[in-house]
Amino acid sequence: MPNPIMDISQAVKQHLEGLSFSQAVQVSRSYRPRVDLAQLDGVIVTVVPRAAEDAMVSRGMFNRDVEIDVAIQAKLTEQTIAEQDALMALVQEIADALRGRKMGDAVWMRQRNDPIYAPEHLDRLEVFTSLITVTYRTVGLNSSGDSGGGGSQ
Amino acid sequence: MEIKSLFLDRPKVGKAVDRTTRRVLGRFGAFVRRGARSSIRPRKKVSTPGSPPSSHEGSLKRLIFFGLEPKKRSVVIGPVPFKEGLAPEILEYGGTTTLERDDKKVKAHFRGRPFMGPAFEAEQPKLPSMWRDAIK
Repeated sequence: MPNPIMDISQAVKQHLEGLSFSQAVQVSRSYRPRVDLAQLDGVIVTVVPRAAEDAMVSRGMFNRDVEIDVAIQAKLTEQTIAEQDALMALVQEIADALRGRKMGDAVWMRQRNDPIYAPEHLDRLEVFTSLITVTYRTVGLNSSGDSGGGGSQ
Repeated sequence: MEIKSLFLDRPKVGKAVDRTTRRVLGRFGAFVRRGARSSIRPRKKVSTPGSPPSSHEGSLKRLIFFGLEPKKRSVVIGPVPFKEGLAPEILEYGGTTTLERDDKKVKAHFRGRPFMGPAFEAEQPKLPSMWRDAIK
């Protein structure tokens, strides 16, 4: 049985892996992102499913909106504005690459870049972290049997 | 508790808390204090319940401090108690106190005008917890 959450995450990962950006990125998929600060080298992009929400659209069909987090993280080496500008530009490139793009059968609905960078990681760890959350919509058939409509006598 | 003993430049605090922790907590404390102070507007008018109080003569703004608690490795931010009364506490949470009016003691109830809570909330980390703890 297809699992849209897993399928979309994998499709996002593969899509990003197939592109080239202004900086080399290492893309991975995870359910519980964990990075060892000492081993954080270069830019890492982690794709993590965040939430799913179902809504009925008709008696037999429902929409499933799946939110996928795409985190862009890099350890700052120089801590200069130029270094952080370059990472912000990379975030924009990745956001552009995701915007409006179907992932398999899932339709892109919206995305937000929040936070555009995380001050707490900059302060505490000298790590740049930016989070893009993309919402995709899939359509499914309702198989629960309870269509919610009134029956005829 | 004496707030002065928790100030960042005190030797006891300096020895007990490492430099990075002091910097991070100190910055957070400073931001929350600044947010709280700037939310207290100097004016004669009484503020509306639920919004930060007005500053009539400046004590409340002046007496907001922050300090590090070495044992808990946390930052304490807020106004120190006034010499008399419970003004800061009652302003933040609301409550009942006794006032003297024409040599008579009168019970008065005040609705809260929170100023520390909102300043703290405004400075809370913006990353979801899963990502906040992703780097170890």
